[in-house]
Amino acid sequence: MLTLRDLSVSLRGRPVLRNLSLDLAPGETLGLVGESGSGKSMTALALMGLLPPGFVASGSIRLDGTELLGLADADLCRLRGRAMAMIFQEPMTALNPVLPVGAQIAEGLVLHGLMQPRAAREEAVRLMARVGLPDPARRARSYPHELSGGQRQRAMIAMAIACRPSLLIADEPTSALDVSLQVEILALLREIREETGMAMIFISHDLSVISAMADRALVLYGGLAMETGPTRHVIGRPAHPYTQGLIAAIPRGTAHTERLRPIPGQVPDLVRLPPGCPFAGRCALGDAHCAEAPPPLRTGLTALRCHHAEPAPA
Amino acid sequence: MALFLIKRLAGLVLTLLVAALVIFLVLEVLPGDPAAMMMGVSATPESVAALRAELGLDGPAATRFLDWLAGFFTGNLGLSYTYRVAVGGLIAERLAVTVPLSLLALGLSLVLGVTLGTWAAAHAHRRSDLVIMGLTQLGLAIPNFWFGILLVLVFAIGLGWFPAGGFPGWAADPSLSARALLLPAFALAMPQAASLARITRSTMLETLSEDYIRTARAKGLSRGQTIRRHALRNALIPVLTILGLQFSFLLAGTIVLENVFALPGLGRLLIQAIGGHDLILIKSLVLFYVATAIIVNAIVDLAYGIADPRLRVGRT
Repeated sequence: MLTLRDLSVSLRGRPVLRNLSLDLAPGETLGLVGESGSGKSMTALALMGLLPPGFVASGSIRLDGTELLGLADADLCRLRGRAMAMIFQEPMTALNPVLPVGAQIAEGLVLHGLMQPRAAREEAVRLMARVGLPDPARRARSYPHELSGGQRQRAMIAMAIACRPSLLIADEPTSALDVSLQVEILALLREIREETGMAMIFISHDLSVISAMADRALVLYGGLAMETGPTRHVIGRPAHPYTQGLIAAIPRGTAHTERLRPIPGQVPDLVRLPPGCPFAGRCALGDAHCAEAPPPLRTGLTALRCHHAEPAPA
Repeated sequence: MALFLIKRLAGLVLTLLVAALVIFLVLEVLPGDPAAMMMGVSATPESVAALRAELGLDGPAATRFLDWLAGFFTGNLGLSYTYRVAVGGLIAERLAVTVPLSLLALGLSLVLGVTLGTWAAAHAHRRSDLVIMGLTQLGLAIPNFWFGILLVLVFAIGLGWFPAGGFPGWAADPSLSARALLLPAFALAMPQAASLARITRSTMLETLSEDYIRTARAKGLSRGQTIRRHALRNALIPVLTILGLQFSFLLAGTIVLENVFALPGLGRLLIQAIGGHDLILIKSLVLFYVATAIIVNAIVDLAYGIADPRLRVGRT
């Protein structure tokens, strides 16, 4: 239902996302993993057609057979919130502070012509009950500042699923919440996915969250897809040196004596990427050639881009 | 909520009392005896003393201050020295010009300023933005009385669409009266509209970069719908503050423009009162201006709560 071919995003001629291709089937969940600044959110915003001013997308994004790139904003408006919806990272700032929560949830239903205002308000209360907000009829009249962080993220989810989109993009939906809330919100998202059969793109820097949510994982670094494949293979048998480094950096939480093993070096600035492999400067296998030429795509158990590493045979 | 209102009200009354005291004291220490001025140079000391007694000028200052304050409640503010009529009635009669004039100017500046500022923000750094910002720069730089005279030259004398000055009175000719207020209201509104437009543009630009604007767009709202339904109200909260402050300038502007357009309003009355050393009239007029400015700012304070639910008190 969603097909990306060579999606690239650039800012004033400098690439920030390079040649991303992927396919997503109905009901399937793709996890986008990467450190901050790897291009995850850029990918999501490009899909929604909401890139900040100055960013230009090229390539192809097809959703249910419609090419989204080059579509007029008025046509995109008909798809946003209806065919594809998005949940943002910051529940504190992503809701309008001066409008009641219920009205913000009902808005999309009326906008897309699915319901009359009165029916939409009632539906908003039902949706709020569905996402587990207590006392939804009263909460619908509350303002965002009267809700806790977790409640706001639930309201955000209710808003996103209101029009029953076939694709839900969740950009770090639990990163701003504490751990126990994270578990609840992830469970809620899984339930809703079962009920509605929607496809999901789940963005996180947290591999444990990805493994809990995604059928397939795509590891993004410096605007380039490093490794992609079934989540269990990407996490269980990573072949790319960057993926291996990411997994090695996860704290095991067993002993205080164990030191964290961060990947040495820093994430390159997205607007100053080298022409070759963006990971070259930090990679144990990296040599002079790595930074010059784009790494070739190699496929096996997973698909990866590297000059040196080979994926395990399928 | 009730407690909050009571506190606000108490603060308001206290400010007004202090303002009244300052006005009273300033006029008290000012040289010049109104009674002597009214009687002229040929008056005998006896007749001046008699007039002083008649005007109530011979009592102790404290008594006179309290009598004056009481007058605001009983409506008896004394007789104007020069007009020889009750000050209360004189003010009430002139309000029929000044109140519609200032409200019209306020409305015009708000509509013009917010519309232009929003348009400029929505088209930031493009040509229409530059043109609007250039015009507001000009609007701020031009004195409003000069602009008023320019308007008279073009629209009253040149095109003949509006009267050049004067005011027939609401009872005599309502439509001509309304038209007589339009040019001065426009001149009065111009600098206010210019600064409101600049403030609206910057608060709107700030608002448009907020996360909830992206949420609204992700829901499927167009840019225009997002601005109208989500950004405008948020962007106008800081504009409210400025509006309250600007109202004082607007009131001061009516004093000048009523004289430019020969409108029989409070401002013209004040200038005439000052010319005639009509202290009793000046005293009440000045307090009236001060009270209006203070009360409008208090209303703005309360309006915050309506505009921004985060500032509502006593609600959970």
